Amino acid sequence: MKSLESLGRTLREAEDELLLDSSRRADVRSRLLARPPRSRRSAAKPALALALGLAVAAAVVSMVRRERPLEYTVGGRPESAGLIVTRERPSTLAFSDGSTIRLAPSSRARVTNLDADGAHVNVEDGAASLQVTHREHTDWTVHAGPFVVHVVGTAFDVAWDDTGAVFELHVREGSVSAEGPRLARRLVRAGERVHIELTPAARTELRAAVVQATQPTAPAAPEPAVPRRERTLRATAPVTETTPIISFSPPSAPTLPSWMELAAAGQPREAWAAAEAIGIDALLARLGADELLRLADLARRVGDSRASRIYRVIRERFPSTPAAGSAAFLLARLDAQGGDLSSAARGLELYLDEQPRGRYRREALGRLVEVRVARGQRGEAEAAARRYLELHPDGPHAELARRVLGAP
Amino acid sequence: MTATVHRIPKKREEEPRAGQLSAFDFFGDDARLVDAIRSGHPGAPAAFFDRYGAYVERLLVRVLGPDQEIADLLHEVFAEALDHIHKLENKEALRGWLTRITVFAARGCIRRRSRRRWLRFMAPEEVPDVQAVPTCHDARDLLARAFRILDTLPADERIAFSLRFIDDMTLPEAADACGTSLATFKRRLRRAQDAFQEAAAKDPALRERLRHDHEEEEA
Repeated sequence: MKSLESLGRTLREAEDELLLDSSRRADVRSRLLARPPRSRRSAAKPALALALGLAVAAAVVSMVRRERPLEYTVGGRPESAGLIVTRERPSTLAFSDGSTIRLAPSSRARVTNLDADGAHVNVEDGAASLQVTHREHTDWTVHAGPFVVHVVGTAFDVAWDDTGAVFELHVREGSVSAEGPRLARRLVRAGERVHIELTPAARTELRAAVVQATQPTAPAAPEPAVPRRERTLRATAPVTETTPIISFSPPSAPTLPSWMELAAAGQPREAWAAAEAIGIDALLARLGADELLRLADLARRVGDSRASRIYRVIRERFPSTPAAGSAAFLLARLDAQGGDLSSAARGLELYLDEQPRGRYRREALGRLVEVRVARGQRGEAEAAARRYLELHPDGPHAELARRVLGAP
Repeated sequence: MTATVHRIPKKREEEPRAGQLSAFDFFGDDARLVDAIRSGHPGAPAAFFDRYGAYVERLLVRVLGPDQEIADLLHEVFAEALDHIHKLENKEALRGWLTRITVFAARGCIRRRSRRRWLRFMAPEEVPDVQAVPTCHDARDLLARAFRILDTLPADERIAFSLRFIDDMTLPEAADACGTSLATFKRRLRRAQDAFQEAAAKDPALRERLRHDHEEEEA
């Protein structure tokens, strides 16, 4: 029995990594809120069933007619189409046609389709290096956010920063064609590099364009996008309202997250300085949830007030994940330390609601008792105390909880 | 009773972004939330999803494993709940009621698949391959192997196993989630446990893992 419980724990942790990404969950939420009244929906069911039937039939016919589709492995293990998420280490997808995709740390990509001629890959967030083997009918498509790269055999690096809405493409060998917002379909050759940073207004327009499913031409950009990380490009490629930013500079070497190494080596001030040298905003945009938790912890340790902001960013970028729950708790702890007991109470309740069995449950319940007492909320304090004693009768806050309840 | 909705001014003017927190958070208890949904409060369905979306999604994943239909099922569960919330008798039991709807939706998904399995082509990666024994069995590998076995169990037994061992529910919680008596749930769980262990004994990775855990337990 214990061995099954232990196995279950391992499976649970593996499943947590496969939860929906934030944008897909937001899609479900939007669909739910936008759904028509029930009577209208029931009328649409036959049409939906017919459409599904046709889709299934088309898929069956397609499967019969096609040649054997590509297969791929991740770390030597066969995988089917699906989501691949990297954390601290890169991951390599090896395809049966000899092509490879190396997914950078803290990235998220999805193999959405595999057929005999190639694959459809969606780099949802982060960076990937691709080496696509050229064959007679090679046809690969790589989506990076709203941008699309068409490939017939080449080597290139592509990145999409989902938060900052930054697209980067660097062709190392051969050529690809790329298109997207502010980028009419064009050939990008070896050595060329495309860097497009969408302005908030352009992103809003992009969303509107997607919703309305209008023609594929890009909306007029109200503001020329200026890349934060490549200011020097302006001299070589002046930015106009209709021209994407294209540079011919050699690719910069990937930088190691030295702030993490310094933090791990017990040098928090040096680590924070290294993080600041990269740019806290840039890190907020591209780091994964676990790395951001480390960054926030580092900020807290050196007494930088941006710790709160980092926790908020975690909650915004990775909603409904264990990391978001942890961020709620840790933010509440900061709020309590800063004397904002109202926010602290709200954050603790939020954490307990989102992560009822989370790692900080006992601590959160205990601190909730403290905060309710400090705010003079007798009824709420008693409720929190009862909840605490029910679950942790021998916990560190048990004595306080019993005092609140007037028990010996 | 009216719902308590606190607006966060900072978020008001911003365009809602995919994955962002909702434009407002609902801090009322479940009974107030139910009242708000029933009375047609414009923010209540969003608050309902924000409060329980992650929970329902996790529960679906626990029962079904890695699955392409999770997003659709998540939508289905909340649509069902919103359509029938007037039938909820004990407003404070919202979570348990939603849990039962979720388990019911997962069961429906499993049964639909069982029915149509005969017309599916088995993808190469789904063909069991007991010959290939990887040297390192990480969590994703074990997950795939475990769900390959769970796929073969009857829906109710599979659900019992998933709720008890993967979601870590207590027996009474899991029985309630399935809408059965504790005795019935225990019988299902026993059958599922026996079938799983028998199949796991034939899978090198799972056998090794379970043996390792068993030895640690004995030690």
